[in-house]
Amino acid sequence: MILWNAELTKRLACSDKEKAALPAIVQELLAISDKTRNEGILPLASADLPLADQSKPDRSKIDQSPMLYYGFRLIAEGLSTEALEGILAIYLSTSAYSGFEFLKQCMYVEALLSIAAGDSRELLLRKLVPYCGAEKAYSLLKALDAENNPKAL
Amino acid sequence: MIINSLCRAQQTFYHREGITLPEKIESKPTPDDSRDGWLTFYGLSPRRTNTLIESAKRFTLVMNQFQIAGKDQLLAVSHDEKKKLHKFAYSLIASASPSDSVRQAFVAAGLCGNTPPQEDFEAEMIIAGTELALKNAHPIVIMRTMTAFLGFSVFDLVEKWLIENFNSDKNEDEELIIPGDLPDIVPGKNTSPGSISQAVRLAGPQLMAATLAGCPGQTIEYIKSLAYTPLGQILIDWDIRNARSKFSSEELTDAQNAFIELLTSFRTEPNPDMGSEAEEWLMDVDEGLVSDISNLILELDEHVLKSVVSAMNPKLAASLIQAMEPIAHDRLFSCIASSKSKKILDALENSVPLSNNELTRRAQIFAQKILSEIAPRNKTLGKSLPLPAKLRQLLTSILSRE
Repeated sequence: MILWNAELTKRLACSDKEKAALPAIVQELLAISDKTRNEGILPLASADLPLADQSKPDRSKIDQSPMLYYGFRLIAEGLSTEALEGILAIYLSTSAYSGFEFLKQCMYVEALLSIAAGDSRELLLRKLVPYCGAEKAYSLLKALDAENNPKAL
Repeated sequence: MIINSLCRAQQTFYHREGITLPEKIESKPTPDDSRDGWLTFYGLSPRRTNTLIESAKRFTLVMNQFQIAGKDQLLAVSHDEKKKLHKFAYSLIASASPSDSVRQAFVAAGLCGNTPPQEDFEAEMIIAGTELALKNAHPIVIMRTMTAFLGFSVFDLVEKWLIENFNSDKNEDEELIIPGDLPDIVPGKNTSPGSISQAVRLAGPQLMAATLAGCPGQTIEYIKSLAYTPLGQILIDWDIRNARSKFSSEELTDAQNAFIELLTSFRTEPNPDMGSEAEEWLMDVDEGLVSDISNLILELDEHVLKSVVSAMNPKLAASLIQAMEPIAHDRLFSCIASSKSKKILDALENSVPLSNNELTRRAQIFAQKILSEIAPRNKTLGKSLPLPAKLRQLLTSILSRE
C-alpha cells in the first residue's frame, strides 16, 4: 500500500517543465545500477577517490550529489533494508529541499534502496518511473524499453 | 517505497502548530563543496551540532555497555544520569517497553511534542535511538540513525569515531568451519566482484552472516573486502558472532547453500542489459553450430553416444555443453555413468566461455570421434559409411566449418 500525505505531495510538487527532466535522471540512475551489478558497490562507495573525476561519468554524478555519495557508503556498511530506509528517510525529511530538488532526492533514495536490495534493472526502472507521474509512466517505460531492447520491437 | 517512510516522517516532524514546510530551495552544489552541500531544515550552528553529536555518542556508548553487561549496568548509568532525555530513554529500555510506543511515552512525559521541531531536535534523536535499542540494533546503526538528523556534514566524523570505538572485538573471534562449498567457489574465476557484491546485497545481513559464520577466515575476509567498507566489516563481524551462537551447524550449512544458489544464479542467468563478458559471449555464439551439435547428440544411437562420451576427456565434453541446447544436455547425461557426469560437471564449473573458433574446433574433434566409433574396424577404403541421412548431414555441416 502506498501512503499519501497532503503536505508531502505539496513539497514534491514541481512544474511540467521540471518534470520533463526526470526521464534523464531515471536513465542516469539505471546506468549507475548497471555499474554496481558489474563492479560491485565498493568502487562507488570508496571515500578516497578524487571528487568529480570526469573520466568516470557515473562516479562524477555520484560525487556531485551528497545523497548518492553518502548513500552508497551506507549501502556498503551492509545495513538491513529497514535500517537503511529509516536513515535515508531522516536525511530526506530533515533536508531543506522542496519542489524539483526534493523530488530528485527522493528518486535518488528510491534507487539507493533498490540497489541495496539487489533489485534487477527492470525492477529499479519500475520503481522509478512513477516519480515521473502516473500518466507519463507507461509511455516512458515503453520508450526506455525500446531504447534498451531495440530487438524487442 | 521511500514515500511511505517519508509520509510517516513528515507526520512526525511537520505536523505541529506553527511549523511551515521548507521553502523551495533549488540547490546546485559546485564540485568543490558538493559532498557537504546538503542543506538541513534546522540550520544548526556548529556549536549546537557538536553538542548533539556528543549527546548521540554518549547514548550509543551506553547502549553498547547495555548490550554487553545487561540491564543492571543500564540501571546504574540511569541512576547517575543528569539529563532528563537520556534518563527517561534508559528507563524505557531497561523496562523493555514496546519500540512502537516510545514516541508516545516521550510525549506523555512532556519531553517532546510541545515545542517546534527545531527545539525538539535532541528529543527526536533520542527517540530514534531508543526505538532502535529496543529492537536490539547494533550501536553503529543507532549512532548512524541519530546523527542522520544532523545532515551529511558529520558523516565522516561519525564514521571515524565509530571505527575507533567498535573495532576492538575482531581478534577475539574464533574460526568455526562447517562443511560447505563456498570456500571452493570464492575466490574463483567464475565469481566476479560484481556478482559477489550483488549476491551479498540480495542475501541481506542475516543470511550473509549465517553464510559466513561457518567459513574459514580467508573466505570471510575475501568477501568482506569486496562488499563492505571498514565500518560495514565491523557490523558483519558482529552479525557473524551472533549467527554462530544462534544457529546450529545444519542451519549454517543451509544458509551457505542458499547463498551459493544465489551466487551461481548470476552465472547461469546473465542480465541481458549488463554488457558483461558472459552476455557478449551469448550474443556472439554461432546459433547454427549450437543447433548442429544439439541435433547430433539427439540423433545418435544411444550405444554410440555412450561409448564416445565415456571415452572423451571431461574438459572436451564440458566445452561442448557450452554450445548445446538443454534438451541435448539431458540426453548426453542420461547416457553416461554418474561418476563420468560428475567429472564433466566439475570441468564445466571451471570452464570459461570459448570463442566460436574454439567451439568449432572442439565440435569437429567430437564429430571425428563419432565417425571413428561408427566406422567398422575392417572398413574397405573407398566405400562410404552406412550413415542415416540426417546424421550424415549434421556431421558434414560440422566438419566442413572453417
